[in-house]
Amino acid sequence: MTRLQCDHCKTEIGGHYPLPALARLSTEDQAFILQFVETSGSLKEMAKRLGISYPTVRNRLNEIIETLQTETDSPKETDD
Amino acid sequence: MTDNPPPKKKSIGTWLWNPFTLLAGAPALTAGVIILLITGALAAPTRTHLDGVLDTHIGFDAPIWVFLSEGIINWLCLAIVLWIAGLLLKGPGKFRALDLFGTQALARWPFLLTTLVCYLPGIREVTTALNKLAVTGKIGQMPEVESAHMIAFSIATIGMILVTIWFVALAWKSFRISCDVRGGKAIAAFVIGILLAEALSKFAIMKGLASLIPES
Repeated sequence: MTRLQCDHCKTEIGGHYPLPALARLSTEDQAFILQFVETSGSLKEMAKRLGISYPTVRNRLNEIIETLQTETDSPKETDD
Repeated sequence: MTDNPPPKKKSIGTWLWNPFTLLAGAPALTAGVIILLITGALAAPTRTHLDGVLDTHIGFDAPIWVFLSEGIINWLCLAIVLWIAGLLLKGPGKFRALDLFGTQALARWPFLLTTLVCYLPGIREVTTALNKLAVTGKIGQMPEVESAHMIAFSIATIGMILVTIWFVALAWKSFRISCDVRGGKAIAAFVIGILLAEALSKFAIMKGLASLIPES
């Protein structure tokens, strides 16, 4: 992200601003995290909802955790 | 805005080649054990012995509990070895043993087809003739059987090889999904595991189970 704007006074500030880690995830991964929150973190419930097995849900979550850890370790955009 | 991901499609291909993305845990364990027992029960009349993780032999007559036990021994040998491999690769608490044991039981379902193939007419005649040749030291000679029976036997043999390959593919997918393992280390662990389990199961069946069969 390179520009921030105030909705009220329309003041703009330029620079390099990092996106939150969750916003950097793919749309599919974000949807998965949304389901995770909606089911109060119950992988069993998610497996039921998605019609897939428990380890498949858990593996998907592990992949997202790995992605987030990689993002945290080496963020693409840093504060100036 | 993000939409919820749609449920995974349950195509026939997925059920045949990658069923553990859809089914694991207790339902897989229940279905797997039931199929193992049905396979054992169907193997008894044709004397089809699944006497090793990767083995199928048509041989001697035995009580039905021997055929039932062979399937259970094969399943447990591979599941226990892969469970230990999973613990070594991922560490304790990183995966559920229930998923691995359940999916490993279900991975053996293609052997049900093997036992059914052994009901083809002529299979018993050819195997009996081959066993006689082996006993008399005439291995390599063509048995004196009808050519139709020999063709059926050849088809059954090819079928059994394909079933074994299919089982290995399913067992690998069970290990990969249940333990969440990937890469060269996981493949090496699986190959070593399946060879070790084959040796263990052969030993358990040939030395352990065979010694319990009453001599008639």
